[in-house]
Amino acid sequence: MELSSGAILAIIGAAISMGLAAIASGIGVGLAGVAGAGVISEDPKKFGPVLVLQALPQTQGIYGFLGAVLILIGVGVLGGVVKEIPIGMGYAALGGGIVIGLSSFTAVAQGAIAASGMGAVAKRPETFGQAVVLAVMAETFAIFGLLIAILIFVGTKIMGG
Amino acid sequence: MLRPTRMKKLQILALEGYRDTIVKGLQGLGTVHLTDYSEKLSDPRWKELLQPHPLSPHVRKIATQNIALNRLLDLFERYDPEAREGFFKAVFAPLPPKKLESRGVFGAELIETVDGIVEKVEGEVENPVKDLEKIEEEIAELRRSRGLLELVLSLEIDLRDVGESDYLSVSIGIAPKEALESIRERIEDLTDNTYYLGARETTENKLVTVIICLKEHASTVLPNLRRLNWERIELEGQEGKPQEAIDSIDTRLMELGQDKTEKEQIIVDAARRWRDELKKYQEFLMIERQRQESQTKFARMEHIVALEGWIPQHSVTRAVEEIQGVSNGACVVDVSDPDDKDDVPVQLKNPKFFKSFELLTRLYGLPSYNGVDPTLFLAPGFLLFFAIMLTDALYGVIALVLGMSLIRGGGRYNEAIKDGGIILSSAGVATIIIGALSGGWFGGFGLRVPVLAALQVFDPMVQVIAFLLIALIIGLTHVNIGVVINVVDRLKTGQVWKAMSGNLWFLFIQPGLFFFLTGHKSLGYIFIVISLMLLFAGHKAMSMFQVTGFMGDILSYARLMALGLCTTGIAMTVNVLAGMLSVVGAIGTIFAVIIFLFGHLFNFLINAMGAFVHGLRLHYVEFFTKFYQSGGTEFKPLEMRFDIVEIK
Repeated sequence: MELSSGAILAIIGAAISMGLAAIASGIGVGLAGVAGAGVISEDPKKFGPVLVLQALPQTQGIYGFLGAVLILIGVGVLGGVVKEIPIGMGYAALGGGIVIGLSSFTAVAQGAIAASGMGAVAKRPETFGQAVVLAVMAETFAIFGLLIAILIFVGTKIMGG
Repeated sequence: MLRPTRMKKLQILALEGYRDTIVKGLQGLGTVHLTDYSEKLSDPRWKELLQPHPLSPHVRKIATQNIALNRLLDLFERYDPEAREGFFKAVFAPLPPKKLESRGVFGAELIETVDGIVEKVEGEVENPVKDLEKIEEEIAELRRSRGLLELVLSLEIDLRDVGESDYLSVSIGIAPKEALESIRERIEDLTDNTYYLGARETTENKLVTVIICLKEHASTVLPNLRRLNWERIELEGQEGKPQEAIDSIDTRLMELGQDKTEKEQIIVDAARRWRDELKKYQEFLMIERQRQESQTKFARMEHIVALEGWIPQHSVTRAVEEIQGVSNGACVVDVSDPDDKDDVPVQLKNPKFFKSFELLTRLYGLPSYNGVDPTLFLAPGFLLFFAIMLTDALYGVIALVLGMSLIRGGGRYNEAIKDGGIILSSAGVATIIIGALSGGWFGGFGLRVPVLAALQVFDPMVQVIAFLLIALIIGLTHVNIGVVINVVDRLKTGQVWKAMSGNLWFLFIQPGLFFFLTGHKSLGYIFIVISLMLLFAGHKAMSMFQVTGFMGDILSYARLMALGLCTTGIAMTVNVLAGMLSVVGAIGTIFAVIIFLFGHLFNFLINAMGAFVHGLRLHYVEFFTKFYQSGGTEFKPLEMRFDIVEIK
């Protein structure tokens, strides 16, 4: 099967979206997990709140996944027939993938905040709500990254076209 | 509504002799939050009149009794653990909690009764516990010896011969296999060839050795061998061949085991008879301790005791009657309004359904006494945001079912679980409505049913820009509501300038821009100029940041659309993956069903969590900052709250 250059660029965009997001989320979840294991070693009953805090930096990975899937659907890789994609549209998809991938690195900061949040929860369990909100703040920019990517996809007819 | 319960300040002066009856009366009412006099007593004018009230002598006694009860309950738990419900059973289908009926036992009678019970129970378990300690010590020692004997099992010598006799020294030890030759050489050197060295295999790569040498050589040979990793095994007091010694240890262990079971049974019997009784009195002691400890908050002079506290306005009459009643009128009760300097405790007051959402307000921090209680606004906003971010009717059904099972399960006996259940099920209902309107039925899966497809008025995956605009308009409305609450609240409390100089400019700039852009330029200018004047008057050099701050706040609501699309997008992906597998044949269909179910369950869990935390965040960060003053102290009345005891 011969793929058009546009389709290839778009597929690279999908790969970057998922790949970078996976690295970033992995680091974030890792940072939080290390702190979480420390808290659990002291008090295994805190597993619930620790798990929720550790799950927060995973969301960026999901945004990366979503971005990749939207591109793959737009190009037709998911759904059977790969479409003829103009090269400009391919670059647009690549740009969308890059913005999601790069903005996913907020997961690293979010993991660090979640880790210190776990320390707070270990000492004072009632601070759990606040700890979650502090960590969620870091995700805002990843959401904006996803938003911009979606706007690119819509504007260039990769989505809904 | 909209403000915490109105409180009155309650000041009581009473004869010392009525102190305990008044405290008992207040505890029975459960409506008075006592405050600490000691802060006031640091003021020299008060100091002349009143002294701090001394600590009740019963407090220490109660603490000691509590420790004794806990120790006994721990002992019972060790030998006769109580059945506990697992997490899911406790949350979804718990058994009714056990209740113990009792008449009320308080004060001196309580302390005497607990002393009696502790003495009786300790008398029953004291000897068995001591015996068990001895038995466990002996078992540990025997197990250690047995372990050593197993190492030397391959030696066929009588263990009575091990040790020193008149001329000879017989030692047993363990050494690595490869060290055998160097051990032999070393012994040869040190004993002038007067020795016996026997070796048999034991555990992997180790040998068990018997060394016989002249008694006078032993003191130089044995320390020397230690450097070659030879380890001596001490088997003093054992008789017969190793296997015989092991057999006799096993017999003894069996005897001890039986003995242990008997003693344990005595403790188990005691646990079954006494546990409930001990728990009951543990709870009575807790109530008594609160009562006695509350005295440290009082002040006194000669024969008078002074108390101060806060009481909800609607409970005043009943409380005053009760206090007058129990003290035969020998007291002065003064009820007054709080002044500005008072730190009045906060009790939230909301209608039934909204009460459950107080949980979310508390998560941020209680409002101050004179601030607005945001719960009434938070509930509908939170439900709407949650629904938009989850956008799938069937996910809403899952949330509704989970929420209902919480209410009908653990919610029957636990208020927090019930509140959580109410929040989750109402979020489920909201999600079903929004999901049906946007055509989300496990993604587009349910749209094959014509009725469901007919309900759809909006397609988030196609009308993406419209979705973004809706999110931003919702955001603008939400922020405006916050600003209006702030302005109204300040006008009501007479802070006119603060109301004007705060965020009022934001309410003027919007019609201004609207008129300007729709051609009514002069009207537009008027609003814009007023708005800018308010802005600069209120915020001076920081005005620019006010504008960017509000823009950021409203843009932040774009997450409603991004997360909504995220749920829809992933649901769609699950359906596409399942669809691709389902055409591969029977096995493919099975995998397709598995991927479909687990994929949607995963998507529900991850996005429901996202919808929950981001729904809260939009309230805490964007909405509350416009009007909310937190930092209230919780209203904690002196009360008689029994968990397991039921007073007859």
